[in-house]
Amino acid sequence: MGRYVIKRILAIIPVVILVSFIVYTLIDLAPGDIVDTMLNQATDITTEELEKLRSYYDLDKPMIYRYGKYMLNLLRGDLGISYTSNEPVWDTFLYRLPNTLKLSLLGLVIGVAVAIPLGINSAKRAGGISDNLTTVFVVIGISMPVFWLALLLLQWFSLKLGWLPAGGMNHGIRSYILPAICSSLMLMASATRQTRSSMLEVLRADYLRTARAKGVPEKVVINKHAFKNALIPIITVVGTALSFSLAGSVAIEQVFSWPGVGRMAVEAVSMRDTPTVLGTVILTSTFYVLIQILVDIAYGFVDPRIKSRYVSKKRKKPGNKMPIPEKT
Amino acid sequence: MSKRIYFFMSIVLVFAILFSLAGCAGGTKTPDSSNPPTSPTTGTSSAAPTGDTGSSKHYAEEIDILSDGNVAAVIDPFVVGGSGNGPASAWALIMTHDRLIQSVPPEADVDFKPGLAVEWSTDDYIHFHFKLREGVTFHNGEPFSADDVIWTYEYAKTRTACPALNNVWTYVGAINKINDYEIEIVTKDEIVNPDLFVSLSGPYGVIANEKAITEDPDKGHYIGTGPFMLTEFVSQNYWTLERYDNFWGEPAITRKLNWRYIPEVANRATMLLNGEAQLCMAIGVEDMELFEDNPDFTIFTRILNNCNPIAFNMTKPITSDYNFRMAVLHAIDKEEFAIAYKGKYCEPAIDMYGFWARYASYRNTDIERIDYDLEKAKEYLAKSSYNGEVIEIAAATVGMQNAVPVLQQQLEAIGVKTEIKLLEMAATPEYIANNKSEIFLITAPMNFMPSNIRNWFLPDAPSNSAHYNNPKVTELIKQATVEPDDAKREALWKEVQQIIAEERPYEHLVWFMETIVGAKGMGGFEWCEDCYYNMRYIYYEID
Repeated sequence: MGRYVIKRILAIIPVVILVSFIVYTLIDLAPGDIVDTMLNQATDITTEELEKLRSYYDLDKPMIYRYGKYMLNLLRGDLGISYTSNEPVWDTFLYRLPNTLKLSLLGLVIGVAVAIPLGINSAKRAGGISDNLTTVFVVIGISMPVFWLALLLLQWFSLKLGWLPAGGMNHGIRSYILPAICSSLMLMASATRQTRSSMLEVLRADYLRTARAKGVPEKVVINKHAFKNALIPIITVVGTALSFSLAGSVAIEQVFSWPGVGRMAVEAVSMRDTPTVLGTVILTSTFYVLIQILVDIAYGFVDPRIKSRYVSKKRKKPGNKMPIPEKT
Repeated sequence: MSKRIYFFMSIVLVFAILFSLAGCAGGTKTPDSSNPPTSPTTGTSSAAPTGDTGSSKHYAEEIDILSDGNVAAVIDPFVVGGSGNGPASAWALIMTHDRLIQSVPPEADVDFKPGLAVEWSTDDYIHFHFKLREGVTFHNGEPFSADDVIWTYEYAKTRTACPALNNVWTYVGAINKINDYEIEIVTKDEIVNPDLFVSLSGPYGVIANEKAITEDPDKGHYIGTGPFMLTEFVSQNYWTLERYDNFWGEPAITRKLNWRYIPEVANRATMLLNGEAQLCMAIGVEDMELFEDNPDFTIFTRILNNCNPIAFNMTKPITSDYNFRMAVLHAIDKEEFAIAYKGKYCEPAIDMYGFWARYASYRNTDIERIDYDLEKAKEYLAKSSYNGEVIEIAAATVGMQNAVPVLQQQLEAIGVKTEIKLLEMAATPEYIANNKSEIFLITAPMNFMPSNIRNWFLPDAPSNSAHYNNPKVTELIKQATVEPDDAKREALWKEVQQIIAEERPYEHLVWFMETIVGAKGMGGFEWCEDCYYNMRYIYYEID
């Protein structure tokens, strides 16, 4: 297991290189640069000063030189200085990350808390009214764009009722309610659907019939035997949803004026702030991969068979590649 | 458990459906006027009111302000490049720092107000004499003297393209210290510069303190001599200003100002309605109806220096054709364009100058207006070299997407085919520099003051969106810039304007109107000539 985790962590390196190169190229190909944004703001700037600035930011040098320089600095752990805030990108990211984390984790908790009971109940009553209603809810949840839901929530709870703040995070827990609901919606819908289908599959299994025949109470059958065996695909869905929301709930943060990583990236793109865009993308993609590794590790804890496969294959065929658990 | 889940699920579903239906329902609700916005941060103040406010009134100790999309990524007049200094940064600097002289609204009787200088004069627009204010201290307790002015100038020169250098000190050649409280500023290359006072009074003409910046290069530039101290600042998020009690002038009325950056315009409006703030900058035109007839709010509007000029690309054969330009200009109904653009919150431009240029020096009042006249437009078009080709209009302005099609229809009415290219702001300079479109619609401060003309009409000026290059105009601008005789200089600038007016590479379409909404009781703004707000004596009167 340890070797497997190390290998997966090392695999982050090519991911970072590839992602950073693609992003750097895209920024470079986009029309305009940081000096152009300055020109938009300062009409008094002289041509001579503009040239000095282009030289200061190495914009007069080929892209590959700038990218190489950036990556060399990255090797030393330096993500660069933001062109706009003049602060180290790492510091800004660390300041913003907790805000995004809080929102993502709260969305995760709400999403899981609603999705799992809903999915289990739906599977138990497959084809019934509650199952159909759940399906309607799931379809709405998956189809509804997050920004649209955010705007609806704002209109209803902030503008019309005035119960909750419309943006920012200055009002304690009240500030979190609307963004967290939006953040949880997608997860809620997809996890409900996944729980339902996994449970349906498991509920038909022979060992559950056996358990029932042995007189095990239905609650125990469902919650202990069935649910535990249905967990793997649910973990996959939850892990992926968490990765996505950590990678920047751009729409939510923008609509709710939430000072998180997503909004930081959006603002950096519009300002052509290359170090901030790159820093944000590199760090969020790293987080993404790390969460996927955690998800893989979690499989082993949930299902001893997977754990034993790791161990047994490693012992039998030490030269073979580590097995990667199947994701549903 | 199953019953509970069923019940819960039903509630969620019913709620989701109702909620979606409510959201889909159109119309806006007028906020309940019986529930005026209140702030959790308000309190009473015994501070002496200023202006027309009565001493028996009570004022909030704190005011929460929502800043618009003009984000303050830095509040640093000396930052290299200065891209993070948005208008919001300038508002903060106006509160925290003093300049030698202060700008005033254009319609004011005086040209400038005293700042750190109490007297100022010049005989030749080359040598400027300033008598400085005594007894002033910086926020760190350091006394102010002539050395601070000289150090600020020298420091700005070491910073590449910083706003303080670009907008202020680049025009200065030397500062001579006469004594601790008297200085003489000599213009760069001893060139006549009638605009130097304007430059020095701008938001980036701040005087900084050497000790503050050398001791703390990251935050030392927050230290000024203004009535407010910058106590907290988180880039692109919020900043807090607190009253400086040792300010040399009349103390501020409000103890604390909390500025929050809220990028979404609809959020800002909602937050203001909910009482989460008392003042909101740049409310969107579409949200103004929420406040227009609402007695709990006051709307402040003001035409800005920023305008929407149309720029003809003078390097393209068709737009370098005088008859074609005249045809286009006569075909544009500016009023209709303005309505499509920002409704009643912008003014159709009535001349080629900016709105505030009526107060500008050396204005040529003989310039003829170009009015909407379809017949004339068709006549000019018939005389032009236009052969039915498609003309590209590149619009670089946020919010232009509704107005540009109107322009397109207006040109279509005389038979000019056009294609619209909407540009992101950051992409605009490159697009213009690459000479791609025949017509550009831009947003810029264009007021035809001498320094402004230099930015727009000299061939190598970065703002020269029309790629205008008339050697005669270039020569006249150069002559006018160094002409020591005031009457001759005025004649030269007027001649420049006359030639420009005849060629019309640019024409203003609309003049922007800034919209700020405050809770009832808000006041104390002062609008500066450069479009920035002076909020030093802002107040929120409470019962």
